[in-house]
Order: sequence, then structure tokens, then C-alpha cells
Amino acid sequence: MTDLLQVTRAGFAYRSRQVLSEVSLAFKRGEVVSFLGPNGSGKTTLLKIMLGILQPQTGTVLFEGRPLKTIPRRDFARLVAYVPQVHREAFAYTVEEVVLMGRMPYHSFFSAYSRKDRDIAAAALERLDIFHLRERPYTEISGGERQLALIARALAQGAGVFIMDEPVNGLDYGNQMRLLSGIKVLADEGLTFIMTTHFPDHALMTADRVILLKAGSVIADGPPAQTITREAIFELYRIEVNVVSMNGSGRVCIPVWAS
Amino acid sequence: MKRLTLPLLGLLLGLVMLASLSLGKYRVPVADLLGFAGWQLFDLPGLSAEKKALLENILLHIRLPRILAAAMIGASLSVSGAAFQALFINPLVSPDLLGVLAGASFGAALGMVLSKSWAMVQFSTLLFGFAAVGVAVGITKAYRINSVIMLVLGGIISGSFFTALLSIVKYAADPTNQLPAIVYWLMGSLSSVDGHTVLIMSLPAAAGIAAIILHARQLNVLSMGEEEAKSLGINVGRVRLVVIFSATLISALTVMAGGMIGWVGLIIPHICRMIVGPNNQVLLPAAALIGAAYLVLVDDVSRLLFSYEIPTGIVTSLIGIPFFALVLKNAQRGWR
Repeated sequence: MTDLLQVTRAGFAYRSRQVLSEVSLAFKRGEVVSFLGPNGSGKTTLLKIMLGILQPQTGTVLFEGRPLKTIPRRDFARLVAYVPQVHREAFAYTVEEVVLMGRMPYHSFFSAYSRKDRDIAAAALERLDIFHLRERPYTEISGGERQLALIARALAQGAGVFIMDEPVNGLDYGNQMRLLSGIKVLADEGLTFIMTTHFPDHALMTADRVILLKAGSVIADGPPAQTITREAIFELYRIEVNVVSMNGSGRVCIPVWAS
Repeated sequence: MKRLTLPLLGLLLGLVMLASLSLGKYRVPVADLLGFAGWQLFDLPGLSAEKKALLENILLHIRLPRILAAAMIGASLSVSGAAFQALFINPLVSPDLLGVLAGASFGAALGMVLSKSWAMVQFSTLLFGFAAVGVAVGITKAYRINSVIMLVLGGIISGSFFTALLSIVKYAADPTNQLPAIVYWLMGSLSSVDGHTVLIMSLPAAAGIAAIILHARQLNVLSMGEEEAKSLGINVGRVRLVVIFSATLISALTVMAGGMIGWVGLIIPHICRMIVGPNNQVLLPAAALIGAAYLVLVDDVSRLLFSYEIPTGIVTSLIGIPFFALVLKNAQRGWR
């Protein structure tokens, strides 16, 4: 079976700064993958390469066996959705208008949004429990609600693969946990998630595969139990932690200075 | 109600234009307007031959071209302003962002100094409007950095450059005839608009406005950010190209018809957003209609307020600047 997404020996440099070198990775449908790595390790660049937003300077990216750059943008948008970090926007579109944007890949230049598009958008909003926000300006809802709206847009896009850049960035603890449990629910329904995170604990909670990136190279790739170790965390962040098994509720990282 | 917004705005524009036809130094009562329209369109009797000639001269040769030009200029500036605001993700940018008005003004002034032919002046206006935007985009391309901020900086450089060139032309112009002509032109006035100019500009202006309105949905998505737009399947480069080209065309045409009419392209989209919301599918047509009605009204004011006419561009600035100061608090949105 062909891999869903296959990155082979990808390299990328911004001017003279090498951001990624010789990265090779393959992803399967239904996986929940978390990228961990310090700032500047190349996580976001790698996501953008897998989205076709950036072209790798060396190496190839295949989606279901086809080179990414041969897939028309509109077709690709129906297969893979991008959920960016929470941002504040200049224009106060309603939440519903933002979610409807997810239907763009299904339209030719002239055809207008249809009844069906609106139904799909409404269903996506309901699924994330934010239907009541549909008339509210996107700029005036909270960060957590905005992230949910962006996920609803990705659902409306009808894609099976969600690529998310630090989905919990800027959210409070409650919203972080609600968002992560939401991701877990969607993943159980068969969606593929590829995301970056700054929190090893979040990877332990949600991911079934963790990839550690350091200075543009993959240093570990596997189930969280094998990849998130005190040695690996020290290697990535220069922080001493204990990885502790909690009775019946998974594992967490606790910094040594705090224990 | 939402469905009715655009038809209502269209009706408003129609009423404003009709009222403006009747307003002027020589007031034409509504009854005469109707009688004249009946005679022109359906060959109805009722007006004396003398009155027909008088009304034909006033309405068809003086007021109608001017009103149509005002409407087209208002619509063009508002639509290009709204489109740039979406494209550059900032509700406070104006159609001049990439230097088109500076370039077109220089082109007009150069034409006035070098050529006696009005057609040459108009051609030069358009040419340098495009040249200025070309310089702004070219600077971005030369550095191979494809970002909005780079484009904005390129626009500042290009605008300043053509403003400097304009100063050279003014300095070199003959101070008895040419210099006053240039200066009055740059104040922005519709007093010299004739039917011929309106005919020349109407088709490209309509095409440019239509091209932008057809990209309304794409502009919505693009205003969420370039990468998001790409991930939603938008051909970002093509949308930018079409919108920048069309906005440049229609903005340069406004300078060609009436000189520098400032601030319309900034404040009208802003007002429209307050009325119909930010969705460009409604906002852009609403901006066209409200912008047209606004400039027709402002032109009425500049014709009628004093016993002598004041340049329309001065009136739009006098209204626009305080308005801008009032909405400045919204500047915290957009770039930070």
C-alpha cells in the first residue's frame, strides 16, 4: 500500500540558513503524529513543505504516490486541510463566512456557494459545538473559539488529513484540553492529524507517533513511549525531566527542578 | 433585508444622479427633466424648441457627462480601495498604496508640458500610472521576497519617486500657462470632463470594476493570509495579478478624467464595511454604488456651495481627513 504522504530526503534553506536537511518520513492514513522540537528546528517549514506552500530545494514529497507539485492546488485542498495558528484578523467576517471558505475548493470561478455548502458548514459548526457562534464576527470570539472555527473550516473542506501548526498556541489550559480531546475524537473517526507542538505532554496525550526534530534533522520517530524519554527531552531542550507513569492516566513529563 | 441592500443602494445612486441633473446654476425642475427624457427617449411632444435646445445643452453636454464621470470615478476609487484593503489585509490602505496616483499625476503633468494633444496627456497618465505600480512590484520581485510588506514598501518608494519626478516637471513648466494648469489638475476637478472622455473611460472602468468584483470570494480568502489561501486552493499569484492590474487601470482612469481625487478610496470602503460587513461579495458592489453616489454628491457641493466652483478633490479631502482621524482607532487591526 502506498503511503499517504511521503517525504524523501527533503532539504530547505532560507538564504544561507539550512532549516531542513535530508528529512525522510512516511505517513499512513489514520495516524496522529506530533512533531516536537525546539524553536527553529524546522517544524513549521516541514509542515509547509508537506502542504505544498513551500517547495523543498532538494528531495521530493509524494501524496498517495503522486508528486505534490503535480497535484492541482484545488484538488489538493480537498484532500489536505491546513489549520494555522490562531491569529487575529483584520476583517470581521462572521464565523459562518470563515467556515464557508472551506468550500472554496469545490467551486469553479463563477459558481456561488450553494445550499449544500451552507449545510456542510452548519454541520461542521455543530460537530465542534460552536453553531451558536455562526453569526458572530470571527474577530470578536475568543482564541479557543477561533481555533475551533478554523478546525470547522477544515472539516467543511472535506479533507481527510489535517495539518496543524501548534494548535493550542495562545489558548488557556481549559481550551487546550478541550481542543486536544476534540482532536482525539476526530482521530478516532479516522482522520489523519499531523501537527506540531511545544508540549511533550500534549504529544503523550494525543499522538500515536512522535517525531523529534532537532536542527532540521529527525532524531527519533516512533510511539510516544519510546520517543519521549528523559534523554530525548534533554537532547531537544536541555531540560532535565522525569517521565512519570501515572496510575491509569498515561504518562507526563515533570521537570526535575519542580519535583 | 440583506437581499435588498444592493438594489436599494442602486436606487439611491439613481436618485442622487437624477437630483444632480436638476441641480445647478440653472435649475431644471423635475417636470422639465421628465419632459426632456420623454422627448429624447420616446419623441414625445411638449417642450418648446428653444427649451429643447437649452436643456439639451445643459443636461446632455454639460451635466450628464460630469455626473457620469463623478459616478465612475467614485465607483472606481472605492472598489480599488476595498480590493487593496482585502489584498493587503489592512482596512486602512488606499488605492494609491502602490503609487498609481503619483505615477498617473506625473504622467498627466508630463503630458501637459510636452504635448498639446489631450489624447497624449490621457495616454501619458495611464502609462505612468502603470509604470509606477510596475516599479513597486518590480522592487519586490528584484529582492525575490514575495510578501505584502515588501509590496507596500515598494509602493512607498515608487510613489515618492514619481512625486519627485512630478516636482521636476512642475519646476520646469512654463509658470504662466502650464504650471497653473498642472496645479489645478492635481487639485482634482470634474469641470473639464466632456462626453468624449466619459465614453473613453467607461468601458475599461466597467471592465476593471467587474474583474475585481468577480474575484470577491477569492479576496475574502486571501484576506485571511496568503498561506491559508493557498491551502484552500486559491491561485494567489493570479488573483493578485488580476486585482492589482484592474485596480491600477481604474485608478489611473480616474486621474485621467478628473485629476487627483483623494480619500474616496479609503473612507468609502470603510463606511461600506460598517453598513454591509466585510464580505467582499457584498462589500465590493456596495462600495461601487455608494462610492459613485458619494462622489456625485460631493461634486454637487463643489459646484453649488459657493458662487464659484471649488475643485472636487479639495472637498473630498476636507471630508476624508477628519473621517480618517475618527476611524484611526481601527488601525490596531491589520498589521501590527
